[in-house]
Amino acid sequence: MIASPVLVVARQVMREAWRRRTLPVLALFGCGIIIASAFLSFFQLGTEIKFFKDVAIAVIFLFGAMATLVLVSTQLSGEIESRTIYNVLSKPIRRYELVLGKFAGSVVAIGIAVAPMVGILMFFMYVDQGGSLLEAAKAGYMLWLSFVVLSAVALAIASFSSSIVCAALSVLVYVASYLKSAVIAYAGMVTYSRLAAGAAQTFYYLLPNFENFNVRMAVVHDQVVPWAYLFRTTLYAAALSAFFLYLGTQIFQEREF
Amino acid sequence: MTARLGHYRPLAIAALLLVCVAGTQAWVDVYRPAVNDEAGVPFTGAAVIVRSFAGQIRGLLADFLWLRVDEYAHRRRLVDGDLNRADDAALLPLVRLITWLNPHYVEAYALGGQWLAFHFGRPGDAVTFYNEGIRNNPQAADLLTGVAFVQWRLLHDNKAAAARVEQAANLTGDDMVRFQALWLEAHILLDGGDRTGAIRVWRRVAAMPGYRQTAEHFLAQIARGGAVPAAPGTPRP
Amino acid sequence: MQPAISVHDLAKRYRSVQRSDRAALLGLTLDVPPGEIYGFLGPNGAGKTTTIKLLLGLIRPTGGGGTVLGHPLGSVEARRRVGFLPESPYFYEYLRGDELLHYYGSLFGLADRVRRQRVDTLLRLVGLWDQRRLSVRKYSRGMLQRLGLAQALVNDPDLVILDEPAGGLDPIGRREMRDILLGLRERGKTVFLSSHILAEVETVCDRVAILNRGELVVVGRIGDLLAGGREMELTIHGANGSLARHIEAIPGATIHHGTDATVVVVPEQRFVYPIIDLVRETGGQIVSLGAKRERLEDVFVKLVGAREDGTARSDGGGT
Repeated sequence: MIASPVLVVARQVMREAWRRRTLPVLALFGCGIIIASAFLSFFQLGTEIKFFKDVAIAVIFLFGAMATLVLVSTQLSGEIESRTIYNVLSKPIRRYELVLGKFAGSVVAIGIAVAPMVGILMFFMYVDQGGSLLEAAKAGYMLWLSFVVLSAVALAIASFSSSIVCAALSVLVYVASYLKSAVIAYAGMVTYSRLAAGAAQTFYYLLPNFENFNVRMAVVHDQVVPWAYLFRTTLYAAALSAFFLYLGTQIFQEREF
Repeated sequence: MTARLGHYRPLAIAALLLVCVAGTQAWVDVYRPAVNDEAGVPFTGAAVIVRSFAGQIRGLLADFLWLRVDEYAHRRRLVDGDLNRADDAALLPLVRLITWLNPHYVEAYALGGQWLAFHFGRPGDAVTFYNEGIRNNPQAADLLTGVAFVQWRLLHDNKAAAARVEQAANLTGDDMVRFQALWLEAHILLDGGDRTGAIRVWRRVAAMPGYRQTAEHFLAQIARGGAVPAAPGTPRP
Repeated sequence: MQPAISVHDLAKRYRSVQRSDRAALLGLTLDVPPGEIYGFLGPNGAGKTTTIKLLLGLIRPTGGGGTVLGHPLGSVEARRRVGFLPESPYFYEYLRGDELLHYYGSLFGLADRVRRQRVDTLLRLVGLWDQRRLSVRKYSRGMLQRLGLAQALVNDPDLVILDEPAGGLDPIGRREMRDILLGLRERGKTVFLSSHILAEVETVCDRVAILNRGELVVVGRIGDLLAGGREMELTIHGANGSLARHIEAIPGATIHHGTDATVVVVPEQRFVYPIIDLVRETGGQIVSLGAKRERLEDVFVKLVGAREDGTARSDGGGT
């Protein structure tokens, strides 16, 4: 069977993620922390499961984000810095195919890394009868969606920067996406101008909103996340990823080596 | 001409994608309140900033802060033997942070309201804090009875206190908890001189299965002109 | 027949914010005939690697253009039939040798069975069959060079572009490399070879182009470039002082005393006969006599040095 270059590169990324050990180690650490927190009993009676779920969601979020940044920031930038890019781009692969292949491989690898942590969360919830497993799976899926968007953002940045700068800027964008609510609130506090309010709203709609993927309460408070919300957020993630990937491919297209 | 248009094609595509992003964001926002249990909470600017920095781990941060508060409070009680110390002010900012990070932290609102009222002698601030908690957690009977106690004992606003306890009584599905709330309401009303109101409440208690005898006992006491002791389990400072 | 590589007025200027613009290539016009081994030479900074990058589309020209195997520079269609070995190749260290070849083979869209056969053949050809399951991290410099050649041939290309292919190879490795290149030519492939090892270029190349400071200095067949002038060279045993005095009197003649023999170079054939008579009279022995053939290195240094001095460009006899 002849695979498209995108698939070939994607498989390569997954192989690299496994061989370099970074993702497996992060996943192992994350699983270890979640399991350890399940056995800690210094908190108040009746809130153990709530606390455990909070810890688990936070660990999946932190380690997943770390794995995303570590993996993705070294994909394009790493190829250029290690000069393996010459061998790849001298082959019949278009530059956008290389970027898409890196993206596809990264998001699958990250999904595989995050899955065990979500699985452990679901296992302890099942044992403790601490809520709906389906909602926990949905929360895990939403977290993975946020990593997909973060991957696209990081790849767009990697198309023009080194690995370290890429990682740093990606973190900055991630933090800024949470801070934009603060900016809008602050703008509302200091000015009553319609123009400012309009600008703030535009800011809100155009910048990534990672809060969309936060359904922590679905796990912690045993509430239901509607399938319609899952569908809409998936489309949002797809639109946002498409935008950043397009940006990245356009920049990478013009880059010289 | 075609070449010139082609030059702008990447911009056009990027703009189209941004429109898709904005459109899907707006579409998501329609459903967001259904999954965002903090959607209706009117956060202050400072709260938004703190929450923004905490990001997705704000729930966990709130939990850890609560552990710290709880640990400190119990240590003071067990080691120092006295929780009624004015230097517990150090814990108030922690409580404030907890409620910013997680506006559904009922325990934090309850503890904070209690401290403000009975340790720091700020009943007005306590009621404000309680009311914020009730607004964010309208189903929290603890907060309703807590603020009622402050209004009754410190602000001597029996009418407002009775109204809050009445709300708590209507919330709960547990007969024992409802009985305690109604008992407190009756006591507050009687203490405020509203014997008619107190009788009405006790008649409601009489209609509850298993509580008729108790209700008739207290109705008889009111009829004789006696005071009714506070219900067991009434929150104390 | 369509040239394997055809560029006209190809230019590349690097723009810099801090420094002034740097012209790496100034209007290169070149045709590489198919089925030849074509040497592309020049001192450091001449523009050789820039030219190769332009051919592969790694960078864009600021002037001119060209084709590779009839397709535009850097196009996917061109790259499908080209093999490239970069200078000091870098590979994914976490892969094994065979895995690396399979990866690159997959990028060419090779079917599994074809790819497997080709990878096995190439590993044997470059002498890495026994090390195929080693991680690339453990490969020596020479092994990496061999692996680089193998990945350049994985798609059975019509055009092979090699940048310093002999780098890191021992003499045996160089000979094997030479044999491979000659084998490619026999199969009708075109080899575009950039190298500093002029002796190797002289041995394998049919044609060379010499670049200096972004400009083409000379291009021509090896035979034509090395077809020297009318100088004659004599090797003599037992030469004495009278011979040396005689030689010094000949304008343009040189004499070099070695351990066992004396080498004399005279500018024209007519100076040879008196020297032969003198050697016989003094009891010496003529070991060898013949027209002095220039080496490529001599031509290179002469031409590049001439350009450095600002003297006129030499015409090596056309393409």
